[in-house]
Amino acid sequence: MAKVARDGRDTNPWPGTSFWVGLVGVLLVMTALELVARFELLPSRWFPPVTVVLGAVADLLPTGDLWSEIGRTLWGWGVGLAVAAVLAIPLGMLVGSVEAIYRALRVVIEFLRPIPSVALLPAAVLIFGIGSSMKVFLVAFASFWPILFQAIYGVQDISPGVKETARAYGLGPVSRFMRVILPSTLPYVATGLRISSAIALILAVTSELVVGAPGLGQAIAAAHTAAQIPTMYAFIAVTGTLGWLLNTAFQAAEARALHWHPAQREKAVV
Amino acid sequence: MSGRAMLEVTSLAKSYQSRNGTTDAIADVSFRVASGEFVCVVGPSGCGKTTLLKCLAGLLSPTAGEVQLNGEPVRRPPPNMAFVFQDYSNSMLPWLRVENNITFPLRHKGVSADRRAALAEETLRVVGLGEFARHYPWQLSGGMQQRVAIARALAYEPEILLMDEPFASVDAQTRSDLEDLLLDVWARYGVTTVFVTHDIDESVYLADRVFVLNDRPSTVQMEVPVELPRPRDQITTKELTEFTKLRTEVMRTIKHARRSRSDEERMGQA
Ligand SMILES: Nc1ncnc2c1ncn2[C@@H]1O[C@H](COP(=O)(O)OP(=O)(O)O)[C@@H](O)[C@H]1O
Ligand SMILES: [Mg+2]
Repeated sequence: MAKVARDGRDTNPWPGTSFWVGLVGVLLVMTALELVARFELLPSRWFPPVTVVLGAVADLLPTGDLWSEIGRTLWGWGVGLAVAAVLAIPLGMLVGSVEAIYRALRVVIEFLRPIPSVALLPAAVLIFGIGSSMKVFLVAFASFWPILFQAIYGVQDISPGVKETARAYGLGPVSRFMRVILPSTLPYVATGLRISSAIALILAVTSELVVGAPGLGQAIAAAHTAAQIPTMYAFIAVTGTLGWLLNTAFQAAEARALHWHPAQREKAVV
Repeated sequence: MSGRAMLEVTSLAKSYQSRNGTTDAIADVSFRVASGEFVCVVGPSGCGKTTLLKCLAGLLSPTAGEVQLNGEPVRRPPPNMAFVFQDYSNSMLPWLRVENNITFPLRHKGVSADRRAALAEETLRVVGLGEFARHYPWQLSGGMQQRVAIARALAYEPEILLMDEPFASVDAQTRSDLEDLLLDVWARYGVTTVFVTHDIDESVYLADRVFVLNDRPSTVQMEVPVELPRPRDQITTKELTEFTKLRTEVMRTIKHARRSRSDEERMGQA
């Protein structure tokens, strides 16, 4: 009889070691980078030692600047992602369930999807100006596609047996949608959201960096212009950490909500 | 046949239309099932047994003929009818615990929460899975999942139970255990049962009457009353000469039907 482990992730033979192994890896790489700069293998003027960058981060932490930049970037990220989700989930589920709509829209979708969102940057600036609407538009455009495709795929992949069971037990169309179609599509949508969350951060920072919309990207560019190189790296490190935290949070939420899905199940069952 | 006819099938025919043309699954099937009766439908694979059962359940509409339940024509899944599918793993909702898999059809039927919990507990106990209420279906073996499907059907408190080769994909030992469990449950709840199988021994062992279908497009080749004493037992019942006689009779009918059918085809080609 299979049992659900209390801590689903600890399936390795040395439970509890993965954190420490990871930490050792991080410390090793940081030491290597420190040495590269200290021994001037890369010019330390443009590539300061890790300790100096960490010092710059420490200087930034108490100032309100860092937090407001993070807030601005997160705002563009979050609103763009939310807009994308609100549009893509219902549309994807509709396109996935109605064959005729799927056929009609496939060409349009296949044409729009390969457009790199950054290529729309000039157009976005013309339409929305240099502000957060432009950022939200780019983030939403880029985030839209993974969620849309996951929703289409999720609806099409619902087990016919489950649908038929619901019908045999007299569930009407609304109950079937709420109790069968939605819960079976959710795992796919969650994966789409996680993928889109990473893309959304890239687009948010890119639009700040290139166009100068306020946020972490603009802070990086500003520190660069002012030749405050350690500060520039400090903002880069903060951006990286933010991306990592967001991804970790999305993964955890995905695993928690969808523990029953085969993709998550292997991790949860010993 | 004792008692009034609960289910009445009159000149039922079903053809599938698909891109490659028409498949005639059922040519002409008529039979009646009395209240409280246990009826088996036996026939070779692909002869239209699943098709027939789905027509009885209101999941498919017949091309011709009619199905009546308690004198009312069946057009959609009736609220007093439960269905157990062959593919047990596909008929479970993997995101719901076993107890909720049993109760999900009850909510929209207007059964109160207390009553739902009581029904889940009782039916799980009856099928011997009392301790597995809080497990997920995918944590259980195939035989156990099929017992959950039976518990779900019973909790629905149906007047009539339709079962489509429910034990076809479990091992032989589990299968005879499940057959006995089903007979117990049937005796206990008095629910009218239509049980489809391709296994001749199984049909004779379980039924009050066996309907033998021939190859597609099927008709009822023969009706065999089974007057073996109840309660039945895997060893003593199957030792009876009457049992051997009945299974031989069914087997001969199927074989004969096949031979005459292929003779006809040969003559048609000549
Ligand atoms: N949806 C369908 N479309 C076309 N043909 C079908 C469909 N479902 C079943 N059939 C065909 O109808 C015949 C009877 O199928 P089925 O009722 O599943 O048989 P059984 O359950 O006795 O094995 C088979 O030849 C099968 O290929
Ligand atoms: Mg079948």
